[in-house]
Amino acid sequence: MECKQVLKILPVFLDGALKSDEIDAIGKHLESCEACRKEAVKYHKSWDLLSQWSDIEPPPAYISRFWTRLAAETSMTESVFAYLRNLLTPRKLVVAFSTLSVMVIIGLFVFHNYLPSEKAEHALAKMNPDEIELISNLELAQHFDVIENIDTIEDLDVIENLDSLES
Amino acid sequence: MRKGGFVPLFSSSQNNPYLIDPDVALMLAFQKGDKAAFEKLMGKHYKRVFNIAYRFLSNREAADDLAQEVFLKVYKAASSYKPQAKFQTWLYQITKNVCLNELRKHRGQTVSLDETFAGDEGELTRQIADRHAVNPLENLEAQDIALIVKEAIETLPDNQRMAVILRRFENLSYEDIAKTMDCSLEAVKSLLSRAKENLKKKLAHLSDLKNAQS
Repeated sequence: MECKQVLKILPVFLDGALKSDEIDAIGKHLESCEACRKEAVKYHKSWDLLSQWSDIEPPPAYISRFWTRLAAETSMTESVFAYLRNLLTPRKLVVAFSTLSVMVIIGLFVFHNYLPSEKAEHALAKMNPDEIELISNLELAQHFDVIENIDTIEDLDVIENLDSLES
Repeated sequence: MRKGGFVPLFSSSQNNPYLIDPDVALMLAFQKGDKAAFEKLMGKHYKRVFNIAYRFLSNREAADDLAQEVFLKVYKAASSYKPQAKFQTWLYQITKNVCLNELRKHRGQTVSLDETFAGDEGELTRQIADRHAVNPLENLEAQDIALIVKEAIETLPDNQRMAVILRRFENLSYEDIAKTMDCSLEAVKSLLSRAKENLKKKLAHLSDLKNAQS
């Protein structure tokens, strides 16, 4: 095994976490390679130094503090649920539902009657300008037979008072 | 590569090998309403969980808060608990997740130079080594070495730090570390190799001096 390969897996070798054939190969290499042996010693010593950072004791009464914290969390959760239960009484639910239904019905009505439908737009797109003008002046079209026989400028008064003449 | 996470293999209680774990038995007893069983689990594991959090965050108060949070999660998980691993492995997985989440929440916050560190002989303050001083490491006491070790571990990336804590201070096997950290065995080997390389660079001078002193 070459030094480069050994150095790469030396930290894991020192933990005894390699396969037996790898352990044997590295062991043989270390017997004959002083440089890799020195590296192994450095790894071992720095790892060993970590034991200088000892455990510490947790603050006392951790069990009673736990139950206190749990009780506080539980009472907060219960308060939230109680508030929601109070908010959503059957009476209030009926009122809310009724209001919502009315709003939905109004919304559907407006949508159906006042918003341009796709079919109408499609039909308009197929028409020529004369047809569009006719539709936009339907009232005038109703009296078309009268208008056809009138000289426009001379009989302007007649045109303006067409509706009252008919009645 | 197959990860070392939990795989729900055991649906039948009859062939579940983890039922022989006494801590699993305590957890199942708590699941049935035995609060004393839960307190026994806390008594057995609280200090370990606390020290994992302490070494990860380097803060005693935060560690206690996190340890409480870990056991709150254990408490709340009781109703749906199914033993899929050793109790300790499951507990340490929760601890790891809580620690990493806490760190990510506070990432970027500055550390006070006056922050104290709880050593064996009381509170110590952080000191910045004067590199120009003559023989700065002479007459090092154990608590000074502990502080240097603490700072070396603090500078490790999160996952390397957790792997080092679980291996060096909790003596977990590589396989158990893989399950706790929900990664592959190869990933654990890689994490620990890089962590040891980093620690060697930071602590080699200290180990040389200790040799000279002894």
